[in-house]
Amino acid sequence: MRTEFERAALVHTDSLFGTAMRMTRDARDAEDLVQDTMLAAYRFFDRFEPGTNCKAWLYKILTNTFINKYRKRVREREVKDVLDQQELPSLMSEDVAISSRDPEASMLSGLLSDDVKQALDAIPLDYRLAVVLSDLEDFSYKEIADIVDCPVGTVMSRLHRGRRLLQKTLRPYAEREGIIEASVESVPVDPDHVVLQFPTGRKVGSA
Amino acid sequence: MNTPAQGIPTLQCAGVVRFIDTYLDGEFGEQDRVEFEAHLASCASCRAKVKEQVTWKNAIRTAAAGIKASEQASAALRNRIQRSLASAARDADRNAGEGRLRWRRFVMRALPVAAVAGLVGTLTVSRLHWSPIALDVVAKHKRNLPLEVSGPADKLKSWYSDKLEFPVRPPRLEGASLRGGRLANVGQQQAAYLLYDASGNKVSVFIFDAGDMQFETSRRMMVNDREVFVDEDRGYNVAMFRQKGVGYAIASDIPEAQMLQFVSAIGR
Repeated sequence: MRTEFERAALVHTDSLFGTAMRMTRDARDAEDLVQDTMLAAYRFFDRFEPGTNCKAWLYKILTNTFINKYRKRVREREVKDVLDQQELPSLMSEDVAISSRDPEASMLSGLLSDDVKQALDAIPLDYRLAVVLSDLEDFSYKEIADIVDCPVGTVMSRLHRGRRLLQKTLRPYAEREGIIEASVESVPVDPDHVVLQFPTGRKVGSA
Repeated sequence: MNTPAQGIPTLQCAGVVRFIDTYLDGEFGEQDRVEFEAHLASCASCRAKVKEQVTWKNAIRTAAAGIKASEQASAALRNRIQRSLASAARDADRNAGEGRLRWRRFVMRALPVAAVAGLVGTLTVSRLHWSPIALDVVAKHKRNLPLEVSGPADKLKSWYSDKLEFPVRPPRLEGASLRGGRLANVGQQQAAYLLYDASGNKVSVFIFDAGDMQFETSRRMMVNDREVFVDEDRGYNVAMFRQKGVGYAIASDIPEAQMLQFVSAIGR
């Protein structure tokens, strides 16, 4: 059983750790959380149905363990963070902004990972978790709903709100870097200059 | 389909904005997707909004790859996990000998308590594996997690009263002073954690709903007619017992004899 567990579950250790970091924002807590998760998963491995999504199953245990054991601690720290700093952390220092201002370089690098990480860590936990599970871990809405134990509609609204908060924080930097154009609300859009690539074939309009 | 210039009547711009994420996440059903795209085909403003979100999604996705690459589980963590799995596997092996355990429990219950003279009598000295509960308790004892409440026993008692489903009465331990407490877990159960100081030595007391937890450790003793499981590892002593369905676990750096005095003081 242990070999089977290692094959099915331990391969997700890195992903779990990454998400645990976003949950706890503390390397030591994240390590403890992942260890507790793996141990609990191992103990209940006979309840895992082979052929179903092991990663989603592990994430459900991770989330439960987090809520039961660590959430209170993290909340306390978040309250303290808010008291310590009047505003969101500055996303990047000026010299970084200048050094990556070369348009070609910025096109390639996009948003810097550290900035996105900081921006993510600054948004409220429920929204952060929804964004992490969707955008970093590629879970479907249904899987996220199952992992965090809430309706799909709640997942959708948390994702929507979380992403907008993230964008709000990152927008000045992204605009400066030319990654996105200035806010669409404030700039008139010329329909002929907007080319949209649909992820699936576009049949609309021909019908 | 003849799409009006202002967008199809069933799907207004406000609705589109709300569902851009759903669309880009590929979570729409076929019909919704077609309807959505029909609106986009006719509405430049919504198209621009979707386009902006595509850019964001790609940028976040690229950054996410960097975040994930920079935050991988350390070798130390992998080792810790392997160790805890090995310990759990041994535990499972032990439980596999159900018949043997049942027999042992029967013997324990059958032993006439009255025949056990003195404060402490050792019943078995066969070395078993560490119980996962004992490992859990020692691990938490070793860590210096911040206390959530401090003060006299009465204050702690009322602090726990609305947080746990059983009453917590911090015991008086002779020669040790109560420093404070916090919420913790023992196994899967919520627990009250109490920290005492015995002449500079840390003593951790966990109080929890024992349920059907298995305490079996290397030694089983009778202390004041109470069945107590004890163990020690690299200088840490652990004692665990049940009283009226409530589980108690003590982990400490102090000598076993002194710890057993604490055991006998609890619940009196």
